[in-house]
Amino acid sequence: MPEGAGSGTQGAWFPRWFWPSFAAPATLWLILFFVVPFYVILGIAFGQLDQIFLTPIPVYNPLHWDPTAFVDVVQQFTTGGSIYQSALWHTLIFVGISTLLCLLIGYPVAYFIARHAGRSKTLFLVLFIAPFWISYMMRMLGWMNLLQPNGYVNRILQSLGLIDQPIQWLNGKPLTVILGLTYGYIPYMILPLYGTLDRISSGTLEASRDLGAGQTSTFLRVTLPLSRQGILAGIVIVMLPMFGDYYTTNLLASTRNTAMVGTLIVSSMGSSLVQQGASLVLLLLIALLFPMLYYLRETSRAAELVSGA
Amino acid sequence: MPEPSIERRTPLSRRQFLQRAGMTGIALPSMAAILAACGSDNGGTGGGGTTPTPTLALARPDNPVTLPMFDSNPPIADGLSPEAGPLRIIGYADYIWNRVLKKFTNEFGAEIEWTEYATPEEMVREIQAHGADFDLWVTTTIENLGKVATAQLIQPLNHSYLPNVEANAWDGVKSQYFDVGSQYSVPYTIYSTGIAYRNDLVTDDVAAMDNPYDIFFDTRYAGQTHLLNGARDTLSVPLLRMGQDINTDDPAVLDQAKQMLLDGVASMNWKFDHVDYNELNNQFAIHHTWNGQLTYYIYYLPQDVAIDQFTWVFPPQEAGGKAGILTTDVFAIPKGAKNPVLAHAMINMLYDADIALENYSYEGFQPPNKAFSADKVVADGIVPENLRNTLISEDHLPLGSNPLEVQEYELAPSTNQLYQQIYTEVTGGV
Amino acid sequence: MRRFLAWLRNPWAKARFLWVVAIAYMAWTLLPVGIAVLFSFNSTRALTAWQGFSTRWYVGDVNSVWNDPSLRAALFASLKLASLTVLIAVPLGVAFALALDRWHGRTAGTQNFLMLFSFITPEIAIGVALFLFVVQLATGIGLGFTAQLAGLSMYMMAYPVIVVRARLLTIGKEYEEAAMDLGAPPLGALGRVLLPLLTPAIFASVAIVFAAAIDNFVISSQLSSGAGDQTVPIMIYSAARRGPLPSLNALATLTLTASMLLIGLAVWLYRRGTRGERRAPTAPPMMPVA
Repeated sequence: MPEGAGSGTQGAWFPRWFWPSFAAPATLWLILFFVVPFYVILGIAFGQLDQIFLTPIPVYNPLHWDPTAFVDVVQQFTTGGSIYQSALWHTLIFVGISTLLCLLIGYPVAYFIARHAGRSKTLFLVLFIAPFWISYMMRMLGWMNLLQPNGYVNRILQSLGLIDQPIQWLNGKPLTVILGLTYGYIPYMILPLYGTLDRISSGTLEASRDLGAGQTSTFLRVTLPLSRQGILAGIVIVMLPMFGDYYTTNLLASTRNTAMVGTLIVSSMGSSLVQQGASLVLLLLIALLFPMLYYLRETSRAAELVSGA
Repeated sequence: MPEPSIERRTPLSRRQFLQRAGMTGIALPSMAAILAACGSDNGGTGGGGTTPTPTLALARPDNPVTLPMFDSNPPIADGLSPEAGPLRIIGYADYIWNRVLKKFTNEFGAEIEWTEYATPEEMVREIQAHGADFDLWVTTTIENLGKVATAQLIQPLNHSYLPNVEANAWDGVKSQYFDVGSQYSVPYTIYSTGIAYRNDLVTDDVAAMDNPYDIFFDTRYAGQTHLLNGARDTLSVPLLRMGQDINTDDPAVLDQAKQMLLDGVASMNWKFDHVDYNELNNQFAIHHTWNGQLTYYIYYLPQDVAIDQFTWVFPPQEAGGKAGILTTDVFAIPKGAKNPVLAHAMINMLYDADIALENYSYEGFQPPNKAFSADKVVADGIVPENLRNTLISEDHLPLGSNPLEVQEYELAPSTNQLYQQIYTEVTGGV
Repeated sequence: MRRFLAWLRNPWAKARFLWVVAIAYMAWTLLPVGIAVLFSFNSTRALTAWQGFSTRWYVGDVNSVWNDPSLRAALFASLKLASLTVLIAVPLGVAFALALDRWHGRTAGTQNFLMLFSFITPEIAIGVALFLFVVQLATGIGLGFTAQLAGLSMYMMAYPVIVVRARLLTIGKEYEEAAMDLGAPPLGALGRVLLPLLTPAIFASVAIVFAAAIDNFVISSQLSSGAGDQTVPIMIYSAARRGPLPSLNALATLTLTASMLLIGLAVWLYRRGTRGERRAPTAPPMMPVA
């Protein structure tokens, strides 16, 4: 295999500087527009405030950092009833339930495509990948059309006799936000699930059956454990953007009862609370660092498996 | 859940604020601005003197402020000819009628570039960062004017380019308490903030109520009421309802106002926004809005709603004698503007009698112009008869002359921060 | 018959249940979008009930995409932003992928980690960081198109990196090494031998980056100055909260069509370009490798 053979001799054909210079522009771009901007966040969260305009004055020297604003934000999270604490609870509850729903709906679908779609597999795959290429805003727009007081959802429920009065779905209902988040992110859950389920060989399952395991126990003892990695990857990959979501809740609900941490971050940018917003971003990243690193480790491990095979 | 006191809730207590202000002063000498307390002498010198450490004076009707002038920031000289343009304007979207802008281009040969922002705060930030990229700022507000003049973000006007202002402006707006002598600003629009309601959905006579602001808290209309967004406008509702100063810095009063809003959020499920055309359908009965919006409503009404189903209430005019907001948006020219003569020309043009009326017929926010009269715009059909009471007559000016007609003044920065925190707390940032 | 029996003997007789779940899922994910597209052809202003076919919200009506300057501007802003993002992100990403595949230097691991880390960082954090960066530090860039382009091209570089690296796994190094053994200079070996082999992956990257950029909301909206750089998703977001007309659906349908066409074209080109080769052992290239 070229992979193994090349590793010791890559310098033989190309000059030493050749490949690093290929990586340099992208790396520069990343440093300029990823690393440095995050340092600006630090500089602002731990910086000062202009005392006339209430705009942040970034401080880039860590020796002069002032943690007051950051500590204040942390303290607010522990203050009962504050909007910071409510938003944190909303975020945890919405993300938790939506992720669970994504998994409960997504698993049978991924399982079906991987094992039972048969001849229609390509068709199902195409239909299933399509939402990735439809703008998130367009997908939300579709639901906003449907959930209007005189929209199709209410009309169907009314004609079925389930409700008398139209339900105000878009009037600040946590349920609408949860369903919206589930709808928005479920494709990202199915993708890794499909990936792992598709890789379980039918031989493994037959072996299990030959050894006398029934359907349920084969599923519980073989399929489920083998798809563990896909489940965890799916959970992480839907959770990461959901934790930073503000547009779903703003579009579908837009009330204090449904405010999430992302809502606070975005609104603080347009106000005099920029330092608080920057601190919230830092806290969000700290909270998500572990799942992010976990996901990167798992995917690189999977890539090694693939390239080693 | 019991609400903790405001001191515990706000990230910056007064003491912390002073500490920080001190630190900033040491670290950044250029920002060593001394904050004048409300009611103290203003630090402006007027007439072109230099003040090495400018004082941010908080203007009030009983404390008129002559904004400081700086040698380093003079007005443009007399008698210059207009530049080639383009004239770069910053302001709310669509705040001058396109047809008027085209007339300007035809007359002066300069194209217009319009940069829109949704809030005055964003505009202040943009002017701070890129002031010299703009020639004319259409939406400066009273509560920001002192800051931007003191920080030399805007330049003094040269009134020799503004003969129409001299000729046509209401006398009451020529020198007002927040800019004595109109050194830095000229009013663009005069408007009030009040209550618009659907008289077919709301059966009460809101104007006759002892406290018209109670209607925003009437749970019969829960889910049918919306309030203006933005820290100052939203907080003005409970403060006006309680009969308090909408510029108060009393933490106890602000805490009460916050509590009232939190209760209202829970019981009324208000929607917060300032573009309310979406709420003209039958779902919304009560609008906290600006008088000028009602003229706009006509164009956005759904087919089954007519404009005479709306009633306008401005509490100071009504029996209960509650205060209400009557205020102005002013023109200013950023320091470093590359086309200051054109900018003056645009201000002057908008004070032309015909153009002011033409622009009004589209914008709906009225100019303080002698050519403007309620009888005329009602007769012309721009404003329907039932909304005649939205119009403001000259005898309400100058601003501040009637204690019931109040403005959102410039606040001390720490107070401003407190308003912002309460607003976030109440709305959740949505 | 044999298939039927096999189906019966299947250890997972839940298949019938699964069929229902899968079809219900597809309907649930796609129907709302289909209805949104349908309403763009509605003959009245209604967005809640179908009232007859018309193209007035595309062309003709004063508020149609064609006649409303703000909608038209949004469409052009989106197309411009997406195209230029492709022009920056794809070359940078392809070069990066080549380098990391062929070079195992000391900092390669860190660079790779940085690239992937940027890709999975929640967009809100990137959007806010870039916003503060251009407002506070790089004030020369400022909010607006340039900032949007810089941010999106940075965030989307990872797509070509992932797609091209997957493709490189199936190519190996033999080709360009043979070319250089025969005396070709490094760049010649790369241009004449490797790039043609990578063409399908590059096409795929172009399509993916274009489609992702044209749909992007968070970064482009955080970096929007409000004038002339309001893309279609930003427009949908702000208009949907006010009172939208079917022209908004028409606008969304147009961008949807653009990205679908491009993705379809890229799939076709990819298949044609890799026909007869062993299949890449990684995910199909049209999946957004999240």
